[in-house]
Amino acid sequence: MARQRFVVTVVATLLVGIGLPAAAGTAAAGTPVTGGTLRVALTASAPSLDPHSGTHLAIREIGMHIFENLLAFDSKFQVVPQLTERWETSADGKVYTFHLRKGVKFHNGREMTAEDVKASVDRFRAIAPRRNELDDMEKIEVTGPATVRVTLKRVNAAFLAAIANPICQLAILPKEAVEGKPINKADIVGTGPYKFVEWIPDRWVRIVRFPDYKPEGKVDVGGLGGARHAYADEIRFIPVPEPGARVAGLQTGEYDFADFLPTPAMPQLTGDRNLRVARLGPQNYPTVYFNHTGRFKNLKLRQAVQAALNMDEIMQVANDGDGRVDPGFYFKEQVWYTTAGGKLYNQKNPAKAKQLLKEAGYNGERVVFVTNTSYDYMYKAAQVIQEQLKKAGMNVTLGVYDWPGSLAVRKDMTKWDMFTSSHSTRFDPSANDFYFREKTTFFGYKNPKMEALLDKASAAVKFEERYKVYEEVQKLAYEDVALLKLYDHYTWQGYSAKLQGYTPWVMVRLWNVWREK
Amino acid sequence: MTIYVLRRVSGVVPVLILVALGSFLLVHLVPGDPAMVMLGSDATPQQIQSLRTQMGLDRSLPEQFLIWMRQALRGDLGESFFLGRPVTQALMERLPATMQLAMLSLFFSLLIGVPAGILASVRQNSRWDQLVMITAMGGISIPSFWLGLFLILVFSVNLGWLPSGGYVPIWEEFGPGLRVLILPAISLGFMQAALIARMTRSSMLEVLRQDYVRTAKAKGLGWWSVTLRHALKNAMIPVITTIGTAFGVLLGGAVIVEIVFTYPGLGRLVVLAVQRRDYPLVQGALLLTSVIYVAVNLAVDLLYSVFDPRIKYE
Repeated sequence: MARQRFVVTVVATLLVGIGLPAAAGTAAAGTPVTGGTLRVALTASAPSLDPHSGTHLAIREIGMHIFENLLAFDSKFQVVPQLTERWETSADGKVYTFHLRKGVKFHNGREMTAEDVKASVDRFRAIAPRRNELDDMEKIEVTGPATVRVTLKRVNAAFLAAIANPICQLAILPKEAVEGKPINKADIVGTGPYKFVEWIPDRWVRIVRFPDYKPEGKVDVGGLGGARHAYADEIRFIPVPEPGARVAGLQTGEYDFADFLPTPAMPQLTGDRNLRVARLGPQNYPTVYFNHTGRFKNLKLRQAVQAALNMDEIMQVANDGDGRVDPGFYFKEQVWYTTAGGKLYNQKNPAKAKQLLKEAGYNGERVVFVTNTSYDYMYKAAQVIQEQLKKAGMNVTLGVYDWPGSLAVRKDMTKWDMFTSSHSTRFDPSANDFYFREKTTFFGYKNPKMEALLDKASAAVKFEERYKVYEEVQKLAYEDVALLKLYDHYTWQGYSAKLQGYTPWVMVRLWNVWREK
Repeated sequence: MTIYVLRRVSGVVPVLILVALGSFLLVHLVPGDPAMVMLGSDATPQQIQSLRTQMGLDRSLPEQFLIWMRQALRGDLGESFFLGRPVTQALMERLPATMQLAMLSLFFSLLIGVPAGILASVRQNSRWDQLVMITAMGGISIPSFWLGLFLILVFSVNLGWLPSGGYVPIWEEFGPGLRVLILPAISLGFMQAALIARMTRSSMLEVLRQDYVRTAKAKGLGWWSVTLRHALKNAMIPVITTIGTAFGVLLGGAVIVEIVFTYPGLGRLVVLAVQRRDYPLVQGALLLTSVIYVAVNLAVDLLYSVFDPRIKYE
């Protein structure tokens, strides 16, 4: 049975393609072994373990092992049940009834009830940074010990995806762990396969197997859903910010797993028979935003930048060429992928850019391009862009800060013209809506046509219908030069050859993974 | 002596207030917002504002400073925005790790630096002297993170003798605790050893030329007695100053080495606190570092009188 389960996992992941391992070494068949400690080197220190508190990668990578949502995404980015057994939607599409799985226990030993779900959802709607995704929700009611009913103000096709989204996850915690708790103050008690034990900042987060865990179903459907089993006795998430230290620690066997490994270290690691490496292709894509309230209000000026950029060169410098030049706002491996508007991407045409600058009436005025050194690929990309725009005749000054510094500058619309960031893998296209809506965007973009399209997408329940609308959204974003996608950014993970059952995916999954003795 | 110590300690109070004010202004003037760091780049301005209120950042700067000062005088340095624990607790958790690393580094630097300096001075212009001086020049020039990565490559990855990083409290498990400390302590201590060797050499050279040393030699005293008892003791004053400074640097400035060796010390805590704009933690850590510097300086001053009885504190 276990063998079959893991074969299913591998096939599912290979079909999707994301997280396709570059070298040998993915989920191996074999009987799972229980026991041992997995030492996992993560690049970042979690700013908090409260799952409702932020969108930071480390919060969710650790959190997915401790907490669960009502729904989750499988490896194909389809919504599947997690703490819910099943759900029903009313004929008008506005009322959802969730039937909870029975006998699910929290790590404090108490059984989960509908009251806990309501308390968690209420807290999320009050304080979570992603709460705007539930703006269309009118109310949540407890209709039975294991049933909750959610009423929406209007039909929202992205509602289930918002419930399942692991980025700032809508985790279900015991009522007493969340009620009246401000941000970052929830008790770390979940229903997941691993239970939180200890957090010593900069040293580790320790989680141990939860013996009373009740998995959903019998098959691992990949992604974050399906049957999840804790085979290791303990997992230690160790923050190791220095890439060289992550590589050395893997080689010496101090870590069983490490993420974000530098591309230049790959020949050295692939030659090591004690290790396996896997390429997460792609993991995210770097972006450039224009300040639409300032100089870049002028469409011709934005078009000039769009025409000038050479994404191949940018990718070469920013990530040692490890990536893919592609116009899709969703990755080629995802069902939402489209090349709509792609003709305007990667034009590499400085002559056209010069012409557009002339038409825009640009006269060598200073353009402030804010970037950061906390993510070196963003900084390197900004340096290349500066050079490319200089060739086209633009006077670009880089404003270099650390990440919090750049965010603070971004808040003041008089201080910047262009800004670098990146989009992590989006689980649903609606996750990008807030960039394009006037009410929520941070870069001053507004276009009534775009708003109308997004409203249409929100009401479109059928996949084909939704897909078509999001195709139009992407096309319009290119035509409007709302923002610029640079390239698909690949990253590398490495792990011990003794680690079995590991399937690379967009997030680190250490359930259903065991260490050979 | 007691009166001197009390006078010195009371003189520290205005220094600490200035440090508190300076660090407060410094961290608040750097652009950045802890609420934005916590919530992520996609949070709306309203969400950021409500978290700022929760963190007490909606008050004016002078008001925030006065509140912080009032608490600090009562020994309460506030609560870290991110770690979910009081600043004093966070600092006290890290201090032992930093202390044990600093002590072992200092031990290495003294073990190497003082004998090397003595050797170079008594064999001035010899090959030994040249060897010590060239190595010391290397020690001062080689960045400690580079040395750290080099040591990891040789002793962890290739030879497999020592771990490449991590932390085990030495009082919990002595063997493993010591093993993880060796490489970072050498990386940190090498530069200090070089400084101490150079200072010992120049100070010894000065003393060795003094008349009383010549007299001692003329009296027929043995080499060890002349060099160690008569010369070294008198040459120690500037060396102790260097050692004091070195200890201060080791306690507060081990940031890069802590990152390379994944060592959870004070330096890494401060860097992370700055990166996240965790204001109470940055202020608390700077205050603690200043207290340590002041205490080390006082200890050094008091040690002078041990080595030179002519120095008296009244």
